Amino acid sequence: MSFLNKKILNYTIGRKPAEAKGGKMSMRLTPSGWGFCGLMGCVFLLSINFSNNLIFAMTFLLAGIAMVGGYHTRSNVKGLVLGEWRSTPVFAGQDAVCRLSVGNPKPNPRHGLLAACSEPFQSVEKQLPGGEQTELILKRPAPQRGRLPSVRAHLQSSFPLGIFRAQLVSGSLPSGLVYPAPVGDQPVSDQPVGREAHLRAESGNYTDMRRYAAGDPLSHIHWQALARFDELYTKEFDGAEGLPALWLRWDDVLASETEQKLSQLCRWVLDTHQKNREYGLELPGITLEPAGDEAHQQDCLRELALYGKTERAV
Amino acid sequence: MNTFPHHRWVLLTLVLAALPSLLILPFWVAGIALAGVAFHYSAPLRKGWGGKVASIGLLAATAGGIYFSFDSLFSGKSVLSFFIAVVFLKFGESRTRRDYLLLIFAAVILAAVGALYWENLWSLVHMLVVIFSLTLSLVAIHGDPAGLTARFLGRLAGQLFLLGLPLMLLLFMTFPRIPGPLWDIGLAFGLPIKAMLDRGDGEFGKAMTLQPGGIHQAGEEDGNVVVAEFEEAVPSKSLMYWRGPVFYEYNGAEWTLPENWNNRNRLLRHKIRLSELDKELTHRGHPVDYTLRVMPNGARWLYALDVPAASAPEAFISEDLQLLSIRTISDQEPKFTMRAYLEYNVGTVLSETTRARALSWPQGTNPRLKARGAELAEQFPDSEEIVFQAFRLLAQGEYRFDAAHIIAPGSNTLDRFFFDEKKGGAEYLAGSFVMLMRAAGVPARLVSGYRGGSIIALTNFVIVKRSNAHAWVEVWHEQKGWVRVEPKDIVLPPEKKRLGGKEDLAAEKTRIEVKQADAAPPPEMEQTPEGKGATPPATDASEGKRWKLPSLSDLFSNLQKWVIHYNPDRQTDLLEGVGLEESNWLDLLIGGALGVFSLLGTYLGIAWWRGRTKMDPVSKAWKKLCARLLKLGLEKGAQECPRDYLRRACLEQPELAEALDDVIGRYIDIRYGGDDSSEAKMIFKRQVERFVAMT
Repeated sequence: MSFLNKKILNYTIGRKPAEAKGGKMSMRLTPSGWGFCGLMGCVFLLSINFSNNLIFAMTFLLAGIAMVGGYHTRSNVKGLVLGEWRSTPVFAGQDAVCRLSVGNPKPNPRHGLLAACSEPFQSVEKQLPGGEQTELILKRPAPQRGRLPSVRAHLQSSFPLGIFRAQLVSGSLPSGLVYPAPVGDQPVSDQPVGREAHLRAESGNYTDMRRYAAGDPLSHIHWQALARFDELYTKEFDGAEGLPALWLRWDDVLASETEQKLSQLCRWVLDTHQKNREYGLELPGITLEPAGDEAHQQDCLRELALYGKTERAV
Repeated sequence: MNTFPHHRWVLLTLVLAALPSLLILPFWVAGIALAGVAFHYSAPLRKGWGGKVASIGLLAATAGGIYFSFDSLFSGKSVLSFFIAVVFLKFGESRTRRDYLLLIFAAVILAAVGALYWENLWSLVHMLVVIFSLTLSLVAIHGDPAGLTARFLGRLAGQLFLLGLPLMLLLFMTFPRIPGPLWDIGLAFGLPIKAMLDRGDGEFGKAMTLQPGGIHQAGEEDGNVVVAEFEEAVPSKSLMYWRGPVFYEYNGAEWTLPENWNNRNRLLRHKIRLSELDKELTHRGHPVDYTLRVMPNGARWLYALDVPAASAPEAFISEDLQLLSIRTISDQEPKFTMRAYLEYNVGTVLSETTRARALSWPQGTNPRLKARGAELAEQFPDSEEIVFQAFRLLAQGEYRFDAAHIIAPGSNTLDRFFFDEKKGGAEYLAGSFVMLMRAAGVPARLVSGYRGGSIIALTNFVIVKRSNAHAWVEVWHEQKGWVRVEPKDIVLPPEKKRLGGKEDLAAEKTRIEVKQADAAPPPEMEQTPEGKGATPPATDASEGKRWKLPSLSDLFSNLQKWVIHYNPDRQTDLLEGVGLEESNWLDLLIGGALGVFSLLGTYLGIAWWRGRTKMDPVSKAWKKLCARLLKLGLEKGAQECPRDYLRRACLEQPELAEALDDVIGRYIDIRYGGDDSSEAKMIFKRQVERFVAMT
């Protein structure tokens, strides 16, 4: 008895974790499948009306093929292993690109795989040979700044006949950030206001070279070293000739409307960051101290994206 | 830019599907179709204004062609031409998956319409080819153009097609058949559709004569006569006689009703009350109750089942046992419940006037029949014996039932039918039989009406059409009264009749010969089809001898029989053959669904069996070894590699060290050492077996 128990325990523990098996599977008729059903109905009525056995046979053959095709549709999607959805922040007006990695552990190739969700987002069909991995891409329009809502998404395919559609539930599309569109042609007011700061590590004379760390500005990467050593190195400077930090301030923007002001500020953030200058951001009620690294830029953009939105968390 | 380069499959499907229609349509339709295809493949033609003008021009050409080629703008062929033209022009501009899908659907309709025009075995083959190519195109437009090779496409479509075939067969055999046309069903359930349609020629009941060939003419027409709903099971078709005009007077060319027949007062004076009928019926059997609905026929005929034995509103039973309406039925559709005895003898006394009418003979006509009748009368005194001998003449005379055959008009037509041509419809057969009986001194009359009908979808509804028109004979036996006699059943046994086609004639002949050889059926059984009881063993034996190699033509005729001419009757036969005597449409549906599910289940099972992951023998043996070691108290941890496992095992149970070192060492060699020859694997397996056996 205990032996049996142990065996069962062994069996249940030894199984693969649930998420590796892929999401829940569901089958439904596609719109063209409904059309096909209607067509079958018409042809069937035709065959009854004329008592024509050939049309009877044809109707039944088509119905049989559709049924067998349903099984093929199912097995085309069954057993796929889905990863998590990933997406990167975008600026308003762009498409948020969501990516889903799909693995095919079985030897049979898969066809017509498509990422989809309840809304008609753009996607491209892919095929996936046996034993390989691919990435499905879903383009999600982001017309406004803020946070995109999280939407349930799935992987689907109606291969081979297009009559049935098999769906494999994946996770939800991530609630990605949408920054304000960077527009506005007002120049940055170059007047250093308040405290001054130097871009200590960003300018002046070349002092040293160290290994690349995540977040280092791209302009400081020692590309020649990459060519020679096949490794990333970052150049360091003494900062003696640094320019003073800039303050990008809500009040300095001439535009009157909130969204326009935010867009202008966004433009400024991007421009100053590209010029390798330290900058601080001042919004009504929010102040970000000057800094110059990538993380600082993302913080600034996030504040701009979520400015005035009720849910500020995360 | 072609998003789907596999459009050529769609084109193939379209062309194949339209082929039968193109063959019967004028050639310009094919020309327009060709133009559509050319449009698809030549970009400069369809681009810009030129392309639009050209498309509109082609459409206009189609309209013009239809206007000039066909009489009516809405005839079947003109609609079909327009459809084909539109479909191919659409192909000219198709670029997206949705377009191609639409075209494929159109191809289904085209194939179906094509099957309406050609119904033979070749069109069955054609249908299969079309459906295969359709499956191919569906797969092609739904797959990645890059990843689909023609070989892969063909394999997948072939798989779908071949797996679909058994499902088709099953559904084809079991799906409850509803005899068309569809408006019959509406009619059965009381919709006034056909009645309205029929208003124009609703006068067919007014004819007072029966001419040779008249029944065949009626048979060509599709009009409905009555609709009956039976309380219980529908009786056998061969037992349903719908009684119409009864003829005594024959003038040498046609049978006529008396001049004053339609006089209402005369008819009512001679009507038979139910109490009288009760006394007159000397034998009655097989009672059926049903509801009768009569289509307008411009006369009094209610065409009740023979013999009516109940009263109906505004109706009476005439002296000739017809159910007649008091007013002519020209607008309303009388509907009433009725009772009938399908087997009966009627009449106790034959009045002298009726006897005279039933023995009347037009002067100087058909001398040979008269002579043959006199011969019979001399040889056989008994009237039943005479009828039997007449049957014998029919059975031995190699008569053929051919409703379409018309004997050249002139004198002595019945003589010529009975002695020379031996081929004709019910009115010749019944007419000559009546005259033969009269010549033999047996009073006889000709009854016309309808026999059988079509049963709707295995319900209890029967629709009698004008194509069921028939004529039969009644003779007077002194002891029994009027008895129905069916010469047609002798010439064409009822169980063969439904095959209908000409190819069965040979078979009928052999059957009649067999009958001849057998002991003749006793005279009591004249009109019932039970004579077939003795025949099957003989035919079976002859078939048993012939069964060697089924020739191609045998195969074809079988296909013809079971596919092209499959019908509700055959479906019932098939089910009875399987052992289901009483089957209704619900049983059929459930059976069909069960069959489909079990077939699909079988497919799934086979797919699972083939798709299950096969464990390679080395892993299997390794698992066996680990299980044995577990029993010995050495559990392999999930994190341990074979070498660590071996080391630990040697430490914990040194007595096994040597054996384990060998076995696990071999495993490591195979898996990690690169020595994966089949020889090494075999030795490893054997060593595991040995280890398991020894410990």
